[in-house]
Amino acid sequence: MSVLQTSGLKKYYGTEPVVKAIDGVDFTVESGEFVSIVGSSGSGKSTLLHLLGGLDRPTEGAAWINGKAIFSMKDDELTIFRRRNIGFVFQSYNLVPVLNVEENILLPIALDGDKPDAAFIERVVETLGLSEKRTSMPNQLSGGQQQRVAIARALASKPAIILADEPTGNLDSKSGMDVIGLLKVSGEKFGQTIVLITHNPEIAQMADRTVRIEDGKIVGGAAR
Amino acid sequence: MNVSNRGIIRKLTARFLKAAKTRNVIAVVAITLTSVMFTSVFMIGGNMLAAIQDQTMRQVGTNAHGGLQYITAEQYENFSESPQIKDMSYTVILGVAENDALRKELHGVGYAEDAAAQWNFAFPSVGKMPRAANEIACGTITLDALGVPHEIGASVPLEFTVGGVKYAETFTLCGYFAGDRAMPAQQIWLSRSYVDSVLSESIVTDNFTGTINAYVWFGNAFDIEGKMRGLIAERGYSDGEIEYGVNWAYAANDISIDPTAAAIVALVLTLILLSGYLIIYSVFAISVTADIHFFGLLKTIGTTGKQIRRIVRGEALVLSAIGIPVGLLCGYFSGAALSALPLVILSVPGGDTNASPPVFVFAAVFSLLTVFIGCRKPARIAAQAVPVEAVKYSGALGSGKHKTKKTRKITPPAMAWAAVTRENRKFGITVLSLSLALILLNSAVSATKSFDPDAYLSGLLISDFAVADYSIFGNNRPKNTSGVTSDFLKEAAARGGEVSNIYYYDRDNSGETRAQVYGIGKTELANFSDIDYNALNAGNYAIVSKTVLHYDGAIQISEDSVSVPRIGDTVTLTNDKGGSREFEIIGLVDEYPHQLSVRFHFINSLDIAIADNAFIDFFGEQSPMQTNINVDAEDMPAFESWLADYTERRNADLSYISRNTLKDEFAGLTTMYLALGGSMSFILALIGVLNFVNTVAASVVARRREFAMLQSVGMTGRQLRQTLFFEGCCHAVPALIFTLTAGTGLGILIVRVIAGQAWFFKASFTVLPSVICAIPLFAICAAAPLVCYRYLARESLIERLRIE
Repeated sequence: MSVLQTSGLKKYYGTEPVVKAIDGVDFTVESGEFVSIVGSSGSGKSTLLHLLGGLDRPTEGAAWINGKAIFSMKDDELTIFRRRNIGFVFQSYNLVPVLNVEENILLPIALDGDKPDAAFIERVVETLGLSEKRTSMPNQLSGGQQQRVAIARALASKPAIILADEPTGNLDSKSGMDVIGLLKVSGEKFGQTIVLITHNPEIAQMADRTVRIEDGKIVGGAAR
Repeated sequence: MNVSNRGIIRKLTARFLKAAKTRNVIAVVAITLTSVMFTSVFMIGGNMLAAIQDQTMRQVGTNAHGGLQYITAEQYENFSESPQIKDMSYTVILGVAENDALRKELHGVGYAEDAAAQWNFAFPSVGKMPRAANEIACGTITLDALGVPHEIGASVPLEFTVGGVKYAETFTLCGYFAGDRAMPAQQIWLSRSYVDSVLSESIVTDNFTGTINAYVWFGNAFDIEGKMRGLIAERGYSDGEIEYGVNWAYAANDISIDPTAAAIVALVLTLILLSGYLIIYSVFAISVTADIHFFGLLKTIGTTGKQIRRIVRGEALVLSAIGIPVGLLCGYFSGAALSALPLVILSVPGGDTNASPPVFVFAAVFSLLTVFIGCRKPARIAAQAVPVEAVKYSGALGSGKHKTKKTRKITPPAMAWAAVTRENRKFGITVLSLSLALILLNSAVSATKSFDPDAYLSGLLISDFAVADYSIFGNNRPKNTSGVTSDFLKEAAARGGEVSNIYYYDRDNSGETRAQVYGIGKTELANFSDIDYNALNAGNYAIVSKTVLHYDGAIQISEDSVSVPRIGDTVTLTNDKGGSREFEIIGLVDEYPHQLSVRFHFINSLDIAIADNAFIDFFGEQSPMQTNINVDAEDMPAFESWLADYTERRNADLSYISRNTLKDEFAGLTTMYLALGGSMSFILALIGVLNFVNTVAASVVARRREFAMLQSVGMTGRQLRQTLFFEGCCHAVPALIFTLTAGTGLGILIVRVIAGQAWFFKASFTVLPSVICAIPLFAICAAAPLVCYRYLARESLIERLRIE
C-alpha cells in the first residue's frame, strides 16, 4: 500500500526566466519504507520535500498521502491534516524555545487537542534516549539531543509519514550517524514510513531505497 | 595608541541607521514626544516664573534693577557717568494728588523721562508722555476715580500741594495707560516745563519734593545690593549719604516656589524622563538585540567595545538631531496652548506665550539626556557582545533563566505567557509603560473628583452674593473695612435682596493680644455656630475663636500662649473714643470663617464676633465691611446683572462674588485639571502603546521562523492568532492589575501632591477611568500582535522557515 504518491508535480518560480525547481516528479513511497532522496544543492530536493509535506503548493500536479489529495485542501485543513499525518524533522531542529523537551514532543498532539498515548510517548522518549531530559529547556541541549527531540516530536503523533530535511546538516558526523541510526531504529520499531533528504551518500545508504534528484527531475534510483 | 578610525565608525553608524528604518521612525517619534513635553514644561515653568517676577515688580513699582532716591540733578549727572551703569533714567517728585476722588489710593504726581515711565509700568499705551505745560498722562484707575473718560484731550482736574501752596489746575489728557491696583502708587505724569515752573516758584521745606528718583540698570541682575553699594562708593559718596533701593523681584530666593509647585515640577519632569526613557530604551534594546550578531562580527574582526558604544550613541545622536528640533518646535506650540495652566493649578499668574532661548536649550539638553540614558544600557549590551556567542545569538532563544521547567498542558494562553515572559525586563518595561498612562488618568480624574463643589462654594460664600470693597476679596492692602456704601445697601434692598451685614473693627487691645472684632447678623452666625442669634443679640455677648496666628506663621488652636478665654469669661473691648465695654463669652469656635472675615490675620490676634447691633452701639455708626445678599431664585439673573453693572459703572471700588460665578469658576477649574491630566495621560498612553507595538513587532519579527515551524508541525493560523491574541492580553492584564494595585497607591499619592493642597479637597480615588480604558487597551493589545502577524504572513511558510 502506498502512503505517498505524486503525479506530475511541478514547482516553477518567476516568469522570465522560469526556474524549474521541480519539474514533473512522479514518486511513490510504500508503507513502512525508509527512502532517502539525494541530490546536489540546488537540485530541488528541499522543494520536493516541502511539497510532499504540504508546506508549499505546486505549480502543477498532485500528491496523495494515505489516498488524500493534499493540494485540494484549504490552508487550515491542510495544516490539521499535516499535524495528524506528517511529521517533520528539520536541519535546524526548530524546537520552541519556551517549551521544555516533553512539551515540545507533545506539541503537535496538544495542538490537536488530543490526549497523548502516554505509553507510546514513553517508548519513543526512551528509544531516543531522552528520558533524563524531559524537563530540560531546548537551549540546555546539544545539537544531537535537540535533533532527537525533533525526531521524537515527529514520531509522537504517529504520523503516516515522517519527512526529514537534512536532519544531520548541523551535526558533526558522529552525532549525525547516531541520529540517523535512531531515526532508522525508531522507524522500524514503530513501523514508520520515512523520507529523508541528504547530500551525504553515507547516510543515504542507510535507507531501504535511494532516489537521486537532479535539476528538479528524478534521475536515478528506483522511483517506482 | 591613537588610531584615526572615526571615518569608519561614522560609516558603520550610517549603515546601521539605514538598515533600521522602522526602528528609526519609532525612535524619532519617541524623541520628538520627549522634547515636546520638556519644551512645554520648561516654557510654562519659565513663563510662570517670569509672571511671578513681573507681579513682584509691579508690587515694587518698577522693573529696574535698583533705584537711587531723593538725589539732586548734580548727583544724577555724577552717577550717570559711571561705567557700571548700563541704563539709567529718572523721575522728579512733585507731590501727591489731593483730589477727594483720589484719596483712596496714593497717586504720585511728577515728571518722568520716557524710559523711567516705562520702567514704572506707567508709560502711555494710548497717546504720549506730556510735553506741553498743560498736558497730563495717567492711568485708567486715576481717570475712572476722577470720572474722566478714557479720551485724549479730556480735561483732568488735579489738586496737590507744593511748599505749602495748594495747586488746583485742569490739564489736558495727552496719554493714558492701564492702571494696576497691585502697584504701590498710581502715577500721574506732568510735563518737565510745568514741574520746573512749579518748583521754581515754591519754597520747598521737605527733602523729597523736587528731588530726583533715579532708576538704574546694571549689566546683569546678580548681587544688585553689592552693585548699588559699589556704585555709590565709586562715585565718591559715603555710606548712608545716598538712599538706594534694590528691586527684590530679582533676588532669586525671593521668588519662593512653594513645595507643592516644586513637587509638581519634579513629578512632571520625572514622568517625562521616565516615559521617554522607557520607549527610547526599548527601541534601542530591540534593535541592538536584532543586530547583536553584527556587533559580534565587528568584535571578531577587531572592533572594540568602546567603538561599538560609539556606533550606538552615534545612531541615537543622529535620530535626536531629527527628533529634538521637531520636538522643540511642536513643544513651543503646545506650551503656548497650555500657558494658562499654572494659574489653574498653582494659583499663580499664567505666563505669556514667550519662549526664551534658555527654554529651548534646557529642553534640548534634557531630551538629549533622556536619549543617552535610554540608549546607555543597549549600548553596553552591544559593546559586551562576545564574538562567538553573538554570532549564534538569537534574541528569541534567550530563555536562559530556566534550565528546566515542569511539563504543563500546552494551550495558547500558556504558550503566550511563556513567550511574553521570556524576556522579563522588556515585559516589565512594557507593562509599566502601559500602566503609567492609566495611573495618571485615574489620578487626574480622581483629583478632579476630590474637589468638593460644596466645600468650594461654602468656603467662599454663605449666601447668593457677597459684596465688599475690592480690597477685601483680593490680597490688596490696605483693606477698606467699611466699603459697602449706604447707597448700595438701599438699592440692593429695593431690588428684593435680603441683606445681612458684617462690620469690622480692629485695634491694639493691649500690648500682646489684638482683637479683630466682627459685628455679624443672623445669617452669618448660623454659618459657624449653633448659638441662637437672639441669644447673642440679647446683650453684650461674644463668640471667640480659638485660632491664633503665631509669629512663626503657624496657625494654631492655642490654649496657653495667648490668653484664650473660656466660656463665661469676659473680654474687654475698647473703641476709638476710648470707651470700653465688657462682653461675656457665650461661645468658642475653632476658627472664625474665612469667607466672613477681613481675609487677613494679625499675629497673635483673636477673632471676636459680636452681634451687629451691639457693634454699632459700641463702635458707632459705620458702613459694613461686607454684605451677604440672598435673593429669590427667579430674581437671581436680574439681580446679578444689576450687581455687575453697579460694581463696574456706579462704584468700581465694590466688587462681588456670586454663587453662579463661583460655580462657573469651579467647573472651569475641574475642566482644566481634567484637560491637563487627560492630555498628559494621552501622551503617556501614546508612548505606552508605541512602546508596546514596538516590542510586539520586534518579537513577532524575531520569531517568524518559530511561527513557521509551529505551523509546519501543525499549528493552524487560527491557533497561532489565538496565541498572539493571548500574548497581547498578557500585557494588558498585568498592566491593569498593576494599575489597580500598586498604581492605586501611587495614584493616591499623586492626587495628594497635585490637589491635596486645595482647601476644598476631599480625598477620593476612583479607578473607573482605567477600567473604562481597559476596553481600548485590550483592543490595542489584542490587535497589535495580530496586525504584526498579518504583515508577517505575507511571506510564505517556506521563506520564513529558511531564515537562519
